[in-house]
This record gives sequence, C-alpha cells and structure tokens, in this order.
Amino acid sequence: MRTALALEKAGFAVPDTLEKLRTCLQAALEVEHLTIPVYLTGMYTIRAGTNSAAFYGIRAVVMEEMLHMTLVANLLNAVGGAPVVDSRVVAEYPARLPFSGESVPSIGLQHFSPAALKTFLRIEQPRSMTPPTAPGGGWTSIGQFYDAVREGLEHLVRTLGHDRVFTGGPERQIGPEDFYNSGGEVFPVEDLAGALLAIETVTEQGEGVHDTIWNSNETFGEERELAHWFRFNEIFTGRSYGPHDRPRDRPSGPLIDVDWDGAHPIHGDSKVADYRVYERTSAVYQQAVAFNSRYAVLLRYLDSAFNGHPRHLAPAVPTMLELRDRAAQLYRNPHPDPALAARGCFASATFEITDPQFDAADAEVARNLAAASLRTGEPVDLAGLASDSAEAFA
Amino acid sequence: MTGTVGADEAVRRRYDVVVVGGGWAGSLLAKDLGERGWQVLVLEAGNGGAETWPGYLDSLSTFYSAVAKVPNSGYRRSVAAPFPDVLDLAPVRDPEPGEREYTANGYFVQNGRLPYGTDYLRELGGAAMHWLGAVPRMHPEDFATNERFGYGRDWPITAADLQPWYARAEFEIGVAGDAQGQRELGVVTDPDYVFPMHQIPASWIDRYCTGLDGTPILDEVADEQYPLKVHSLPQARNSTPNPDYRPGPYRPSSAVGLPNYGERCVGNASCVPICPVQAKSHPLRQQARFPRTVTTATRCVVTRVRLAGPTMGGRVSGVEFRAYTDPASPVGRSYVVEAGVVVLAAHAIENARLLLFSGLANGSDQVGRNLMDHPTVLNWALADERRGPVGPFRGPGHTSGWEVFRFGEGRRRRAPFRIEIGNWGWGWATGAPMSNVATALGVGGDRQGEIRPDGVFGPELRRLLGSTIGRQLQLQIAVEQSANPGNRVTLDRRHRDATGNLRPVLTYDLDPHTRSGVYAARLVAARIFQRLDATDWTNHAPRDGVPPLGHFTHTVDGTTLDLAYSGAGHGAGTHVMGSSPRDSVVDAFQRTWEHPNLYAVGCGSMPSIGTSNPTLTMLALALRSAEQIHQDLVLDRRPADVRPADEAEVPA
Amino acid sequence: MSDPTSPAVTADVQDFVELCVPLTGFSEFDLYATGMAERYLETVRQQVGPDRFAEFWAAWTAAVADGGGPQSLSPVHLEVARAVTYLWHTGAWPRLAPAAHAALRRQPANEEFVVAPEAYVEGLVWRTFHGHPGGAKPPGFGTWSVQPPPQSDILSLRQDLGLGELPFRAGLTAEVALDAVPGHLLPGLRAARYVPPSAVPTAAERPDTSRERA
Ligand SMILES: Cc1cc2nc3c(=O)[nH]c(=O)nc-3n(C[C@H](O)[C@H](O)[C@H](O)COP(=O)(O)OP(=O)(O)OC[C@H]3O[C@@H](n4cnc5c(N)ncnc54)[C@H](O)[C@@H]3O)c2cc1C
Ligand code: SF4
Repeated sequence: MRTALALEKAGFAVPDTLEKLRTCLQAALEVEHLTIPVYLTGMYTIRAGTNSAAFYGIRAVVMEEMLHMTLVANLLNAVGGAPVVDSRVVAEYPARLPFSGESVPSIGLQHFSPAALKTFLRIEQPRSMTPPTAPGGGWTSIGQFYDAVREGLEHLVRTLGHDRVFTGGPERQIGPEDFYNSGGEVFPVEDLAGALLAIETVTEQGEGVHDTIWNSNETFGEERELAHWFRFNEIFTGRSYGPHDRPRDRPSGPLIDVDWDGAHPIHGDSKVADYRVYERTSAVYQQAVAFNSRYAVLLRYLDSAFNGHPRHLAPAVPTMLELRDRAAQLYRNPHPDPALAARGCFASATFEITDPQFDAADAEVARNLAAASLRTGEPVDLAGLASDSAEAFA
Repeated sequence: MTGTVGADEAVRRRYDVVVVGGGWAGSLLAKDLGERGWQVLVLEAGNGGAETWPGYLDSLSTFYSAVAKVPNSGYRRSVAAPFPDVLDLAPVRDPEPGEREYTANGYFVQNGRLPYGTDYLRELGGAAMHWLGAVPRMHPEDFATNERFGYGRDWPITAADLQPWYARAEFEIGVAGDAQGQRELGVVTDPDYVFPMHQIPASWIDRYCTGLDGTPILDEVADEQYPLKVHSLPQARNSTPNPDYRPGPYRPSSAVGLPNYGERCVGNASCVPICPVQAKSHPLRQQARFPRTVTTATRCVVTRVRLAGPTMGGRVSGVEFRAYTDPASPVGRSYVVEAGVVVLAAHAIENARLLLFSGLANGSDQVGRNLMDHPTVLNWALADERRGPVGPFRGPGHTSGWEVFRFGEGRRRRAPFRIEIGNWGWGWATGAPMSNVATALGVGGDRQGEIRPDGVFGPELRRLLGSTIGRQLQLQIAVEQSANPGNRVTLDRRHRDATGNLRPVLTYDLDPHTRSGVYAARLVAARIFQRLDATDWTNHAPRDGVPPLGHFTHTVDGTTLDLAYSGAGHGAGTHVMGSSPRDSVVDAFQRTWEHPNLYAVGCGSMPSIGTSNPTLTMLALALRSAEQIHQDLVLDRRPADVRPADEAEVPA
Repeated sequence: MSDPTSPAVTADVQDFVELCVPLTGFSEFDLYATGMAERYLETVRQQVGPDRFAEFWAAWTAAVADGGGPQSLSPVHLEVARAVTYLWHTGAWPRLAPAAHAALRRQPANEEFVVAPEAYVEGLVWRTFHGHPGGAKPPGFGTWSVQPPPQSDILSLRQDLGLGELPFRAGLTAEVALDAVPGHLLPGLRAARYVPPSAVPTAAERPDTSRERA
C-alpha cells in the first residue's frame, strides 16, 4: 500500500505527467488488491455446507477485484509503466482505505458476520450514496480517484498525442487466454478507448452503471449481474434484489438463506507474532507463516505475469487454490491462545509478508518459471515443476 | 436462455420440429434448427434443475454423500421417468456352469448370457451430465470393417463425408486436443486443422508411460508386435484456447447458472459422475444458448409417435406424451403435440423402445437389434516401488492412451481395442482409495464375519496408503463390439414401469471376435505392466464363489483366461443406418426409411463404433441431420410452383 | 456458534482429536483442519453407543499411555479403532465385522454411510498420497502433470507427530515392506458396483506375473 498511501497523503490532484499517471495506476493496483484479503477472509470463514449463496456472492466480487487488478495492470503497461507486485502492495490490517475521505473506518479482517458485511458495504459504497465533501479538500471516494485518473489520461493524450502516451508493448497485455474465471472479461488495453473501458469496468462493477444496481458485464455479452455493493447488501439483508429495484430501494426479491452462525469466528487482528507465543502447543504459528510464504509466491507470479509474461498466470492459479485450502485449514483450528479459544475464536490467516518471505518466493518463482513451459500461444505445461513445490498442490 | 415451460403451454402450438430428448443429440440439433428460424419443441422426460447453480450444487452434494460414487450418484432415482443404474446388476454366487452369472434388478429387464453393464440418465442434459468427455474421432477404416476385415456392418457414408461435421461438432461442444497427434493416427485428415483449444495437459502418469515409447508389445492373438506410443486424447473440456484456431478466437464456456466459473479444467478429477465447476462440456450449455424459437418442456415422457392418416404417405403427425410433476410419483397426464418433423433423440435404447412401441420404421426387423457398447477390461497394477509414486486421482479420468491396437490387420483375428491410461488409480476396479483404507486397517471382518487380527494404523497406515495408493496404475481398455442382430432391445407386455410404459428387455452377449479382443487386451496390458516393472494385481476370477459382473472365460490356442468387462455407457446400433430399407432402419441422414418426416438420431444410428467413444461421431451426424431437416422443411413449406412475376398474378 | 461464551472446541473434542493422532497418522492441526472433529465424535458415540464408546475410549487412552498401541486392544475395540480411523480417512462410517457388530449390540444397521457431504470432502486418505478428494479442492489447471512428491518416510512421520516408539499395527510382526505388500492389505476387484468400499474383498494372494494364465 506504499504508493497509494503516499499519493493520498499528497492530496487530491489530477495527474498531469505520464510519470504521475503511472504512479496513480500503481496506487490503483494496490487499492484493488487491498480488499482481496478482506473478502477472502469473509468467504473462507464460512462453515462448509452453509451459506452457499453468500459464499458465491462474495466469490463473484473477489473474482472481479482480481479482474480489476489485472485491468489496471494492463492499463499501466499500456501507458509505458511497469506494475510492481511486491511488499509495496501489501497492506497491514486493519488498513485504511485510501482516497476515501476520513470518514471511512479502518478495514480489518473479519469472519463472515453482519459486521463484516457492513465493512464490505462501506468499501463498495457508490458515489451516489456518499455525501460530497467540501471542495478543495482531500480525496472523497475511489470513484473520484478513478475520475481523476481518467481526466489526467485524457489530458495527456490531448497534450502529448496518443502515441506518446500508449507506448507499452502489446506482449505485456494480459488477455482472456491467460486470465479466466474472472468477472467480465479481461481485455488488452492498447489505446484510449480501451483504457476508458477498463476504467469504466473497474468502477461500474463496483458501483453499478449510472445509478442502477447492475454492473457493466453486458458489455461483454455476459448476463448482467449486480454491482458489488448490491451483492453485499443482499447478503446483509438476507433478501435478493428484484429485477426492478433501484439503488436506494431495499431488496424486494425472494429471501436468501443466510446463517450468521455458519462461520468460524476469528480474532482478525491476530498476528503471527501472537501465534508464535504458542508455538510449542499449536501448529497454527507454523501454518500461518506457511500461508504467508505461499501468498508471497502468488504475488511474485503476478508480478512476473504483469511484466511481459502473461502466461505466468498459469502457476499463479494453483497457488491461489492452495491458499484457499490452507486458509480453510487455519479457520477451522482453534485459536492457539487458550483465552481466545475459550471465547470461541479460531485461528486465521494474517496476510503479513516479510521481506525474507519475498526473497524465498523470488527464488522459488524463478526456479519454477524456468522449469515450466509457458510460452504465449502454446499449451501450458507445468510438468517441469519440481516435486517439492508439487507438495503444495496436494 | 435456459427456460422451460409446462406441458399445457407446450401443446398450445404446432411446431415445425418436435425433438424427443434434451440430451447431447437433441440439444445440438434443436439449437441448430432454432437458429435457422424453425419453431422447435424439445420434450424432455427427466427433471430439470441442474441448469441453476443451487440445483447443480444439489447434485454435487448428492454425489458427495453417496457411498457408491457411480455415474448416476449425483441424481435421485425417478419413478416417473426411470432409468438404469449400474447398481441394478448383481452377481450370482456359485452359478451353475452355463447359467447366467448375474441378475438385473432395475429398469432394464435382462435375459442375455452376459449383462449389458451400463446406465444412462433421464434428466435434462441426459447421460452427458455424467459422461467423461473423451471425444476421439473415428478412423476411416472403422466405417468399413466388413469390406476391409470381414466383420461387422459398414456405413453408407465415409469418414471423409464426416470431416467437416466433426469440425463443427468440435466447435459446438468445445474440444481441446492435439490435432497433429490425431493426424498421425489418421483420424484427422485436414492438414491445417487445429482444435479450438490446446490439448489438456498430459498427466504425470502419461509421462511415466511415455517412457515405453518405441517398445514393441506382442499381441499373440493378432500375432503381431505393436510399437507403443502415447497419444494425447481429444476432450470436451475447457483448456487454453488455441490462437491458431479458425475462425478464432475461441472463448471457453462458463458454467451454466454461474458466470465466470469453470472456464478451465482445474483438476477436480471427478468428471464422471460430475464436474463441480462444469469445465467438462455438457448440453445445458447448448440449451442456455437456445434462441427464442426453441421451447423446452421437462418432465414430459414421450410414450408414442403418431402416424398420420393413410393418405399421408407414411408421415408421422406428432407424439403423445405424459407430463408429471413429482418425479417420485407415477401420476401424470397425457398430451398430444403435432409437428412437421419428429426427431427421436432419446438415447439408443429409448429410441428403439419408442419405435417398437409405436410400431414404426421396422420393415427391416432391425429396430432394437445390433445393440453395441464398448466392453471395457480393467487392468490394475502397482508401479515399481523404487521409482516412487505416480500421482493417481489427479486430473481428468484419462488424458492419453495407446492407440496402435485400434487399427490394421489384427482386426481380422480379434476385435481392436483402445488402451486408456487411467488417471484415477484403481478406483473403477476396486473402489480405491476408500477400499485401500478398509483393507489396510482390516475393517469389516474376514470371510466368516470374524474380526480380522491384522491391520495398520497411524503413521504406518499413512505410509502404507501413501505407497499403495500413490503407485496405482490402471489401464481401461475399450474393445470394439460389432453389430450383431442377436444383441437387442425388445418389449414384453409383462414388464412395465410404474407409469405403465413397457420397459426395455435386453438380450446381450459378446461374440467370439469381441471376446478375443478382450482376451488380447488383457494379455497386452499384462505385458505393458511387465515392461513398466509394475506388479500386476489384475484378477478377474471368481472370488469365494462370486464371479465379478461381466465375467466369462475365453480360450485361445488352448489357453483359457478368466476375464471380465464393464460397460462403457456407449449404447449404439439400435436403429441402424444403412443404404437400403431392406436391412436398415434409417438412411444416411438418420431419416427412417418408412416415414419421411421421422428421424431417429443418436448412437443408435451407428452401424459400428470402432474404438472411439461414440458421442462426437453422433454429434457430427446430428448436425448433418439438422441440415437435412432444414432442407426437408424448406422444401415442404415452399409452394410447389412459383410462377415468374410477370405471369399474371395479382399482387395482394 | 459465534456465541462468545462457548469455546471454539470443547474439552471432549480436544481429547478426541489428541488421541486420534496415533490412530490416523495425522497431526492435531490436520484433524482440526477438517472441521469435522465434533461431528465425528458425535457419530462414533452414536454408532457405538455412549457407554461402549466410553469403554473403548478408556481402553485406547490406556493403550497409548502404556505404549501398547492398537495390538493391545481387545478384538472388538480393535474393530472400533478401525472404524474411527476409517471415518477420519474417508468421511464414512464403515461396515463393521459382523462379529463386532453383534458384540457391540449396535442398534443401527451395519452399513457404510457417508456422514455428511462435507465429510467426504475432508477425507484424510487423499492426503496420504498428496492427492485431493475427487470432486473437491481442485488443485488447478495442469497440476496433474507435475511429478508427485516422494513417499514420506516413517521416521519423520513419527517424529513430526511426536509419536515415539508406539507400534502402529495389529497382528503383523513388522512394518509392511512396501516392495512386497501382501495381498490381504490391498483391495481386490469389486464384484459389483454397489459393494461399498469397506466391503470390498482383499486382493488374492500376491500375483506373480505368470498367474495371468488361469
Ligand atoms: C459413465 C458414462 C461415461 C461416458 N463417457 C463418454 C465419453 O467420454 N465420451 C463419449 O463420447 N461418450 C461417453 N458416454 C456416452 C455419452 O454419454 C452418450 O453417448 C451421450 O450422452 C448420448 O447422448 P444422447 O443425446 O443420444 O442421449 P442421452 O444423453 O441419453 O439423452 C437422451 C435424453 O432423452 C431423454 N429421454 C429419454 N426417453 C425419453 C422419452 N421417452 N421422452 C422424452 N425424453 C426422453 C432423456 O431423459 C435424456 O435427457 C458416456 C456414458 C456414460 C454412461
Ligand atoms: S478434471 Fe475436474 S475440473 Fe476437469 S473436467 Fe474433470 S471434473 Fe471438471
């Protein structure tokens, strides 16, 4: 979150140089990533066999956040930048939501619960529902932030000329052949039209199109779906939207089955350091560290994929799925602190990543990428991966 | 959009085409005709539901809960539209020599020497809801085995006729494959063709087996050495799109009912019975793309095809069907619906049943005859301990095979066979890995029901299981069965289902040519295991007086083997296609010879099935039939005589 | 369950999990990670009867404490120990040896059943060979091409689990030699598909490759 926090601190401004635009986009990438651990925690703390509507609802949003990260990376690449996915994107939870004004409370890792859903709703709150802050003040919403990016981009295209702005190589663009199961479709960004569509997708999947509850997936010939805030509101209220509901209406469709007891309560502020205290009595410490190490690996695959090797997403996906299994295992283990366990708390993934973990990840990622066969256009072949990392696929 | 209507609404109109059955064949054909603007009604006997995500999850959870994870385990039994299940068959303990060694206690009545060991599914989507999705094309020589090798029935068309239709079917269902490998085999002939998606990656087991490439293996029945080479299997399963595909780009389909899901196979390794993410292709995808011209009605069991009046030249007028609301109850109501063309796409056995019951299309006496399947011999072994585990129970059911035994002169002496290199350990043969746990622990007692003294636990158990499951190899070998009029579906008024419909009575056996194929396949597998330094644990002999299902013995050159086969789910041949009404039921377009507007589509039309899983060929034929039906309808609807405009017609 | 006054796991469950480690060969973390511990304890109690379960549990606790392991259990308790282990490994309660079923005077039918859909998914057997349950926890596109990791060795397993010298077998004098596994510890052909996994016969005697000619 380093870039984003620094930028926020600098105060509201429309980027007026290419360099500033790229910085903005790097910040955007970090913000898009920020919510993923938050939503994943909400989703994977759901007890097996319960809350399937909520599970798939949150999942759809997570997938779209991943799409947004990728579209932002495409956009940054298109304007000659180089996305960085390293310690810079990692946030410390509870985290501040940048660009959203002072009124937004910090965002922690919470188990599936009304409180978590309230947080989710606050994160995705559409501009139309956010009271405007005084002009000349700081940032007010992520929507406003993207507006500034758009304005800056259009301005640069006007002043520098299209071709001096869109200088990125097409081979750096991630397309649907490598990025799949995403909300909507990822597309290469090669020009202003593509760039504007990317920004529109990122903002509208969150907020809804022009004051409706629907997102922009129809653009991709897919079925229209609810924008994030409304998806979360369905879960929060336990009722789905009807086809004619408007943004400010309460959902009027059929009830959906939400069971707030169908979750593993966690103490989301627990850190690996807290687990370490109980290292001798519980394997949670070791497993929480392992989770974070694998998360570092995932981020480094993404870094490589975003920097000229779209096909390097192929080993990233199995790493993501491995993290899914590891997270679920943590949430089902009692919290190692007996006092917290006695109060019903389970362990949780902390999403803290240290520099040594990034270093180890770099080594593994480099080794695996060299061993697998991942050339653009050709079949994906992971056979070369060493079996010690295949353990991970179990 | 997938949307279904009730019977009352369905019968309010007259249709251009009524399609009986919403499985692969019916769905593809209905979509094609609907897109051409024809009004199509699909009548589906089974229940719907799986086209919604909660409905699909219900199937998944039914499968999780099943003790026996058989193909139909994701679906509840139905009284109103019953279907066969592999659980219906039971072996007979200590059978008298020459007597039947099995009983059939389900939807099928069986009186053959050997069991027809296969199920299908009457649910929206049909058997494809639990198919594997292996879609190799047939080889040119498969279409003319009689002419070339002196056995079986020949087709009235050739592989060359089907090539463009194969390609279309591969686009429609989304096939991943290695075209070059298929060209080497001679089944793909277009030099520039590529599949829509790159091949599904080979499993580690495939690679393990690739170590034998070039090794000659003796097949003593064919009296020939066959050099091994592992070939990738074309599959209807989402993979990486191939940028060279034309017209591209190809975009893999999402799950029906849950967008942005299932766009790649993620290795759930449960394609049969159910792919949890729907990366495996199935007909609900086609149904989701039905244009408005296509109407689908579920829970409508077609009972009879109606012949039009005597002046109508043998044409049919429509069908009768029974609609029900509760699958668990036989209560229903009858309806009639009329259409310009009737297409039976209800599965080989159901199509035959409908034709027989309706008394139609049987001038040749071939309806119901020539029932075929791919008798499948299971072979299982433990890989060499020194080389470590092979990674079973990962990835799709099989991703590669040995193909050399499918072709060539060996076919004169024995049926050809296709060796599937199994990725799911000993699951099919022994119920592994669960049964490994049971036998390693020693749970369940001995033959006398006493508690067993021996067994392992804890870390020793974990280690033993790791090794004995981790090294499991299984070769499933599908043997060609050729058309034999004695293998047949008949009806008998004494055998009815709960709703009063006559149940299929099956008479099934394997002829000596097929049995020799099974025999040769077993020996070849044993030799391959030997070459891999694997310990062959295959054993098809009766145990404690209980013969395994599909058991028989076969003797070649004085050597007798205990053998057994399983069904493959590839029912075919029951309304066989030919070049003359004297000895076949349908023509090369799957149109019944006797009723110009009655089509019977599906594997039932196939005169032979080679060693290829039959569905792709069936779909190629269905698309070809759709084209012909379109032509028929155009001809039907066009005025017989259109005079030039200047010839005195008064404009309306 | 989110009631902050009830603990994450009860003392009963804790005890159950702790002593299932030497039965299953999996660590406490792994057992909790299934999310099934409470449900399994309930199932076992129900299947064996609360009193008989208490007797069995006392016997097993003693067998672990005095270092005797499974072989020091009575035959009936040995069969219960097997069933508990089978449950963890597969998510299903097995068919018991009819003799044990009778001796325990069990009410429920002696049939295998899957405890819950999510129990199947959490079976430990898949992890013994670095797999994943068929139909769940998919590892991702193309992962089946990767060579599986080597077999874990018994010493490090024992060490990781903190299990010392306890013998983990009954009726066998030594650890099973992996290059010569006896047939009666392996499954044989299922005569029919309805045969539940716990009723599959063991394989016939160790085949030698010429045996294929019957
Ligand atoms: C376990 C298994 C695995 C298989 N794997 C493969 C494979 O890997 N590759 C391959 O090529 N093939 C495979 N097959 C075969 C494949 O599933 C079939 O060839 C294919 O699904 C047949 O499609 P169909 O549309 O002709 O018939 P079906 O799929 O049987 O569909 C017929 C439909 O008609 C409906 N119907 C039936 N009777 C009536 C009636 N009286 N009125 C109205 N509707 C009716 C049924 O409910 C059903 O929906 C497999 C089969 C099985 C059982
Ligand atoms: S391997 Fe798994 S994901 Fe792939 S098709 Fe089969 S069931 Fe679906």
